[in-house]
Amino acid sequence: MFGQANVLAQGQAEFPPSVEDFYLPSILPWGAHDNYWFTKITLMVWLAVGVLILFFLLSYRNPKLVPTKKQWFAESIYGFVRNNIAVDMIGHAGVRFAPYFTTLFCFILLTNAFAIIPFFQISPNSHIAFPAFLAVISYVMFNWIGIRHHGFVKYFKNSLIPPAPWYILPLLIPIEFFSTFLVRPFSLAVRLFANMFAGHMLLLVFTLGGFAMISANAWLAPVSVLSWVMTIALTFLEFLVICLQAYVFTVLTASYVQGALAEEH
Amino acid sequence: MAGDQKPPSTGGPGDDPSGAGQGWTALSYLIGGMLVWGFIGWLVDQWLDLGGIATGIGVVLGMAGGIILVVRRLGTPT
Amino acid sequence: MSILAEVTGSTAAIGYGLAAIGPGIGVGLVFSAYIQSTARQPESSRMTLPYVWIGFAVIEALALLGIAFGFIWAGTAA
Repeated sequence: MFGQANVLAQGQAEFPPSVEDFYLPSILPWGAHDNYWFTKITLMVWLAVGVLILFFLLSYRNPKLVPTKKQWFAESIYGFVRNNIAVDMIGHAGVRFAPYFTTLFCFILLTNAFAIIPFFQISPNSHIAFPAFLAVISYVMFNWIGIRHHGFVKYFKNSLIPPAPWYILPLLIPIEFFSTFLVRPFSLAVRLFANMFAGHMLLLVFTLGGFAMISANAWLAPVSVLSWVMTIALTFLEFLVICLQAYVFTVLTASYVQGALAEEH
Repeated sequence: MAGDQKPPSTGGPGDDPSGAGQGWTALSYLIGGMLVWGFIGWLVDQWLDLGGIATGIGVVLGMAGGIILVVRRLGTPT
Repeated sequence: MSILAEVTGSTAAIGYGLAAIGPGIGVGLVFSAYIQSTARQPESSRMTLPYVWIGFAVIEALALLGIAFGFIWAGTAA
């Protein structure tokens, strides 16, 4: 039950890849099997945090009127999130939240991108813990914003009581509660997790499938080339999914913030 | 990226979520209504041992609630 | 009477397959009508969209009820 690289190094590809393949061996006590305090995944998350902090610090350290290449890049990411997500979804009040959205977008984009960067090749977001925690942060934030903007009672009244006659309200309030306060964080987390999990699984199936076929018999060996070509094609598809999921997560967070700030439904 | 395929929005800042957003809202209200009241019905079923009748009633009620919510939230011409 | 053919497993699956035909056609009709009317008269799109969601909700409810009842009474109707 090792990671992809180990399996290939040993020359024995276990063909149907399983969930076990997502649990990489430990790094700090090197190669330990049931020690999950510092694994490749942990390393990648800290690396992503470090890279993002360094990148934005360095590119904004002495901003120039005519931006350098690095500054231009950082500014265009921030500008994209600010104008195309924050202001588009929320309006002028959205500029306040643009830093959070930019952090969220960059972090998810980078951790997702580890899925296809050579030698990393697995995304931390393919473990439910990371998307779940990101979703919890967004969830707490939009509720907090809504409560601060409207006051506790009015916020819950706004989001739980739909415009309807009083006698059907008992029927509707549980549904509203379910779809506003339970489904939202769940679907945020699961959407990102499932996409990254399925993406990694798909690449594993085609890569390991190629190895399985090349060692099966002489007739199947040429087909393994097809399998690896598929892997390359799917890597490009993964790239698309990576960008799309980072964007979708940020846009949905923005739309929940917008819903929390909205006056009346 | 996917950002440039937004449908043009005609209204002001208090605009409805458009297109796919509305579709997801509608579908999630329907499924949500069914799940919530189906679950409550199922609890009643376990309690009184009715053999699925209460779950069925719960699902139909929840579906009705979901439809009302969709009509109220999305189906009112503005 | 001798048994000529026999179906094993859940007949609810077949039932749901049959039940999904109607809502499938119905949802298709709703959206095809919306697309046609929008193509003929683009400025009417915001006016007709609420009715699209009402129609969609009411029709989709049938399909979802089909799923729910398939599960609830999957085992009881032997």
